[in-house]
Amino acid sequence: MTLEPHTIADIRTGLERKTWSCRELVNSYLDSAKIKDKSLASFLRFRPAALDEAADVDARIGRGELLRPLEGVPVAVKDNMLLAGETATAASKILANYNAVYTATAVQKFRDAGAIIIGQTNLDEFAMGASTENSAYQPTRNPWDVGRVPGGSSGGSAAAVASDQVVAALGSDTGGSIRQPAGFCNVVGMKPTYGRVSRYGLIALASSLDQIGPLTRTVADAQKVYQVIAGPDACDPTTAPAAPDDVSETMRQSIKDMRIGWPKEFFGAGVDPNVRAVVEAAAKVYEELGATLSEVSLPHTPQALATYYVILPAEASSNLARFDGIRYGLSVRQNQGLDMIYRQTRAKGFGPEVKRRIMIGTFSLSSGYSDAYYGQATRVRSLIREEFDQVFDQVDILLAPTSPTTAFPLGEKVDDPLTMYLADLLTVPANLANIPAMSIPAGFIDGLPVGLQLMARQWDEARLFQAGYAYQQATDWHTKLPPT
Amino acid sequence: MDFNQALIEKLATLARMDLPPEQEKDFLVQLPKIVDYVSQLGNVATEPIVTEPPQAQSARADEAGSSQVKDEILAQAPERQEQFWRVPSVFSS
Repeated sequence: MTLEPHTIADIRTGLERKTWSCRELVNSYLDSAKIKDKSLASFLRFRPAALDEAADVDARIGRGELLRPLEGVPVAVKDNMLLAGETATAASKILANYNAVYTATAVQKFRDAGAIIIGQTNLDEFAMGASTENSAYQPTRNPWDVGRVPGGSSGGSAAAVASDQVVAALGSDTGGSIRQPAGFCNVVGMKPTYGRVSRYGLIALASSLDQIGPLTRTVADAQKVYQVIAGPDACDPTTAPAAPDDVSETMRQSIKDMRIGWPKEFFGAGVDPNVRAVVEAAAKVYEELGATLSEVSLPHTPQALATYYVILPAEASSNLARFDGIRYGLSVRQNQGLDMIYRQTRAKGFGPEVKRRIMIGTFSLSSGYSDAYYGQATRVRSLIREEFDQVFDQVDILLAPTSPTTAFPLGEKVDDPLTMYLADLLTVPANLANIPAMSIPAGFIDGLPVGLQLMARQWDEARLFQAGYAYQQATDWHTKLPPT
Repeated sequence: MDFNQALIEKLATLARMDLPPEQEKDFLVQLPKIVDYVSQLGNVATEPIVTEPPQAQSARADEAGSSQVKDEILAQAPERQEQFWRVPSVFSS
């Protein structure tokens, strides 16, 4: 069978009309992915079990059972989400041989909805990075230019969707790790409100910021995945107690009179003027669709990145304390006592960026420095959150670039951590403010995709999808496919 | 604040993480730059800010449940004895 980019709806139709069986479909995706991925390295491993799971879907259909929301859809999950009985490495050597003993709630919901996971995708080690070069196993390449990075940390998921190796993938977003690679690879990437999707079974990076979300080619598909994975979970007390509304209908409503804000601080120093021009063009599209546009201000945006790079390492250094060589994972034992097991296991198991962040986090939480750094960062975070609250009294949606630039060449920033951090400049505010945000394809500069970032008030995924869907009805950037 | 070698060694000890000499050398250059960058937060006026208490979280009912994964977890132990993780003695004999 010939493959073409399918949406979730296409697959449903194909299964209903028996254009192909689910096993045929999944088999062709797996075959095609194994070829495409030789040049992209977006997967850490494929799952042959996907074929048996696809056969199970065929059996269900044969019995006349109703199709589930994601029935038979070939998907991928980032390798920092647990799937019982299977390896989960977070792209770290310290978990090279770790087998998950339980399944992440979001992954379970994904599968319960009928999605077929064909493999686990690459990431920056423990999701620390903006290029997927920090993976301990392999750098992933951008399907639009294999000499460039796909973004990160969900670079494997973004590259796999962009190159049509899968129809949808799950990523995690702590400071932009879904949206930034989505922007670099011309796909849709959505970070729900903090607390919307359970983090149970997500290998924790920064627990007050982490959130799982979808990467897809269309906003309509992102909404379908979001709807499946969202909701309360007794295993994650930070999830919202109320089930989310079904937003599939409101998504299709006109955006006439929607109030769109242009947050001027998101267009400051460091933002490529060509990227700004793409967002200006997108703003015109929204005005033509009947939305109103007004400039708004979030004065503490310039301090968001510094705030993030105090809070994140502090939480990460605490979360990563569990990797100690005692209970699971790598363990370096040379009969030199307990303390040396910790010190040497962590020395050998963690890569340079993970160590840097553990060091910074340990510093900002240490006696004598914790109030000036961690304490002050939490206070500035409160300011940032309040500013967003106030702005969302004036407007419904904020429009901004996802990233200051397009995808950069492999190796360009890898030796200069602070420059790499600047790639997160425009995505971290949404995480600090706990609000939902989404990157959608909005144009190209010299053949490289540009992501448009939409942000909405806390819990207002309905408007976020509505704004994203309206844009994709009016434009065709998301239909452009990479050369590779 | 002087981000020198002594501080780096102290932090590595606090983090229970040995650093090879070449990494220590890199960190002596890189970490001060990062700390210098985040130090701009010191200039933000936050006096009126009272950090809001965390959202009230409802705890689930305190009910005993069964877990079938003990053997699977222990199967991944670097060193075990019966149903325990085995570690070197922490008291010198």
